Amino acid sequence: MDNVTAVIKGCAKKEHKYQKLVYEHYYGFALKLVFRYIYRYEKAVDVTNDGFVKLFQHFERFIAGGEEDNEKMLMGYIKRIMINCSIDELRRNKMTPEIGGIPDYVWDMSSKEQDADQLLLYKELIILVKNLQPQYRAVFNMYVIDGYNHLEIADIMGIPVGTSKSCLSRARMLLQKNIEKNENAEICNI
Amino acid sequence: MQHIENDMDELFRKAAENYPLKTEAQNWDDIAVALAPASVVNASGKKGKKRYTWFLLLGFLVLASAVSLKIFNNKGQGSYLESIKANTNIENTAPEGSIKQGNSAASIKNAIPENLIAQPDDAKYSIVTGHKIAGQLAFSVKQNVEQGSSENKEVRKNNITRLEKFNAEGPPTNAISEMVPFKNQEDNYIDKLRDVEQKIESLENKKSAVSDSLTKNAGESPKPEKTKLSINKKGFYIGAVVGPEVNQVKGQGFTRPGFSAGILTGYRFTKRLSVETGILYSNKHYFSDGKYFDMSKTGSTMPPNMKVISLNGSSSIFEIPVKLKYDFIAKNESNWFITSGFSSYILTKESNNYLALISGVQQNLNSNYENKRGYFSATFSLSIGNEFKIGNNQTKIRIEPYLQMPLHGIGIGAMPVYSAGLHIGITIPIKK
Repeated sequence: MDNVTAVIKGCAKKEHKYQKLVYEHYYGFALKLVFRYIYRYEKAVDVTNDGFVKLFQHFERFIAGGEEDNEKMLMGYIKRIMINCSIDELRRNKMTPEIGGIPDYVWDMSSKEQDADQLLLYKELIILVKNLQPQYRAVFNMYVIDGYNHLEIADIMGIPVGTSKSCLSRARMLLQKNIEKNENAEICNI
Repeated sequence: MQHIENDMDELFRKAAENYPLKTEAQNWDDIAVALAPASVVNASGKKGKKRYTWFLLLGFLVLASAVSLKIFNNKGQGSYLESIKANTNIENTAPEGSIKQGNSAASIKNAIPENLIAQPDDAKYSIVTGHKIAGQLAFSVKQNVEQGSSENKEVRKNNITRLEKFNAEGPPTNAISEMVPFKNQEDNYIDKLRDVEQKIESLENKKSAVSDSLTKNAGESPKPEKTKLSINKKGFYIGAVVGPEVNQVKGQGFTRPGFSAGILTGYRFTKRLSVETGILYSNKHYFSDGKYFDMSKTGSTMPPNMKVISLNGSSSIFEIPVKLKYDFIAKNESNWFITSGFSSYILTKESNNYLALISGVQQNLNSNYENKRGYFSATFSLSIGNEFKIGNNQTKIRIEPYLQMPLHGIGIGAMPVYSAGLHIGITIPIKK
């Protein structure tokens, strides 16, 4: 995004023009992050929008850095808010697992930047993560993909550090098992 | 092992960054509304209002207005005449020369100290006391307006005369006096007393006139009501219905009520027979044991080794009924009717909370399904109700309890849902 500093200043002054710019530019990034935590697509859209509302309502808490670092810091700030909103939503549902499958219309397989097989693989991997129980899913996402340590995870989720570690171990085991099962199924199909 | 783990982590990190997700669902307008000041958001209307509360309120208003109209129409002139008669009865039982029996004379005496009435020229009179007397007199006269005793008329006249005399001659010279300027106030009291006296006389005249007319008309028979046109004219009509509904699966009991609301249209062939259709939106809530949930219909949406123990479900449905309506009691003002027919469903949304066993572990699971599914002739419906006319243009209010029995299951688990509810509605003929 061009002229990030001006945009940040505009958002701090709660100017809608700059808020809209930030929303449109980072919406895809935020939704893809939230969709890893939240099972249903429509709910993930709602949580993403709630996250942006919180971002703009409390934008004054964001501390900008130098011109070169501002965009990375803003993305980090958005990421933190989106993860917190996702965890809040999972807690609101008492970490109840959801089922029902992921409908095909949520996927965009038309990207020309990526190989179709690669896209398919990434899609399958994310579906495996989404099929984990909410607590395992959240810990796996936060530790492996979003780079939090167990202390931070325990603090955000309100669980002991030991629980965080056991959830991660269990998540990895289930993912490994499901990957092997899928590979065997593909071999059989061939 | 660590090496494999690191590779797997890296793979998932790449997947998380590059997986193909549709991200066009952004809606800046919603964000802008949420960021607007609170007063603006409130003025634009709250979206969060529960629809069934609004529908229930609408149904209550329709019912209340219909009932009040019916009561008002049925009252006619009779109650007014009866109230006059009741008053006349009171008058007729009162002793001759008085309108109402009672201690009206005594009440005046009690309002004013006895010594002051008995001895108007008493030296104890004072300006202040006189003021008090005038006030008490005015109060007692006001009290006696309703009682209207002719006995009190004389007493009041005497009191007015005494006050006028008192006013003209002034207080007794040896009276205790306080320089309270009350002469003007006393004049006002006297004027007021005169006005009240006139009003009482006119009221008495009116009452005697009414009682005279009642005596004259007692022997006459009431005028026959105009013959009214039948409410069952042929032709098209249109209407709206709303009401609560309860649902259950195979007699397992009810959970929280849902609602049903929509529009209907019909054609009356004969005085008693009509056909109706329409479109209704209903919200159904039900509970079921897992044995009535058909796992074979779920396809790949459920984990293969999942066994449903029980579920709480809710569905949003558009219903298209087609039914015959027969008016088995058809009167000028109202009908009793029975309907029967079939309803087709379009299921738009289903939400289930399962208690399930997955690989031997019991757990709660949620699922939401938003794929639209159609069910032709999903239920057989039966109802019996009453409709009555309001106004002069064939507009009718109907109250219709109904039952719906499933002909096949609906939803992801093909569950047979029974429904019972109450429709309150209004229908208006469509003029050619």
